Amino acid sequence: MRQFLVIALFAGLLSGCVTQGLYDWGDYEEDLFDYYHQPGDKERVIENLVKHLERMESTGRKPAPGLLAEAGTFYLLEGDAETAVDFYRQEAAIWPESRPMMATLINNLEAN
Amino acid sequence: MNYRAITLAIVISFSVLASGCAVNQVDTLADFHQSRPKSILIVPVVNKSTDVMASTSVLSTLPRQLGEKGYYVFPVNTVKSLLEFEGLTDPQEVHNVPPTELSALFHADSILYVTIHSWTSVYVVLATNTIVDFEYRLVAADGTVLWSDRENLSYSPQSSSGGSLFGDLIVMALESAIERASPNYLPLTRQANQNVFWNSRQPFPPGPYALDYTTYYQAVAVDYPGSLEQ
Repeated sequence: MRQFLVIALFAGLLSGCVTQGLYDWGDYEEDLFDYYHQPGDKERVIENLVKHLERMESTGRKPAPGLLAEAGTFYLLEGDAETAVDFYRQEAAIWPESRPMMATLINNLEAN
Repeated sequence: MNYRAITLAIVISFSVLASGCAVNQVDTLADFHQSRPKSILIVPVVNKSTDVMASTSVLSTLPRQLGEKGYYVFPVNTVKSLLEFEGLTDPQEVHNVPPTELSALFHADSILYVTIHSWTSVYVVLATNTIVDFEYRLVAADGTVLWSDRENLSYSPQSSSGGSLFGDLIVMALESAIERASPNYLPLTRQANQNVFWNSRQPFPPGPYALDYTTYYQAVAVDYPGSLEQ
């Protein structure tokens, strides 16, 4: 019983100091690492990120910073500039800090 | 366990946890507090070890840590690709670019530079131990160092004991074999990044999207009057 109380107390105190997650990152970390080291996985990684972003949109959750732009760059590197621009616009709309960088990317892509 | 031991354990746990949540008494982060960056540009990681997967595993696990701290984190792979497009393919070259130029290119408030000084895996009969040494430096757009830390971590893949000695030996042998083929990169770098950004020894202040941002800076203003004045 005493041991149980000590454990419960510990758990309670610990949870008080743990910050609740601000965002859902999906499989971003694992997938990005795979993207770098398993070229055969690229298609799956892109698909998985797009699905994750769609899930965020349908549940009304704000996507984690940078994720929309990362999707854009994945498409850009596959040669699909149009989809890339679309994602860059979404990143810029949600994150004001990204606007100058996204504008540069969009302007360069639309000039070509 | 007797009553006195339990009381002692509770007192120690309270004091440890309390110190983890408290603000320092000396404002060692005065430059950070004055700069109050909103966004962080994480540039490619310099790798001084011979492990070719080390830098990307550190890079992949940084955005989440800092995004959860409340900052806008520039998309690391987009940044990496753009820099490569500009001819900066070697992370060391990127680190050598003046911070003013880099921050102007992306309109970033701050830049995070990470260097892997060493990454060594020691293979023993039943388990693998990896010892790493990472250096982290957050620099303002004008080049002022806002925060820095160094992390030395000794990492072994975790295994839950099955209770029988023979079973444990098999589990350990299997884990060792997996680690040899493809070391357990992300759990290691996640642990290292977490130790660096979420500790009481050298606290990393919350960013504008963090829930405790306003209260944090109110506390700073009370504890160190004048530190937030320009």
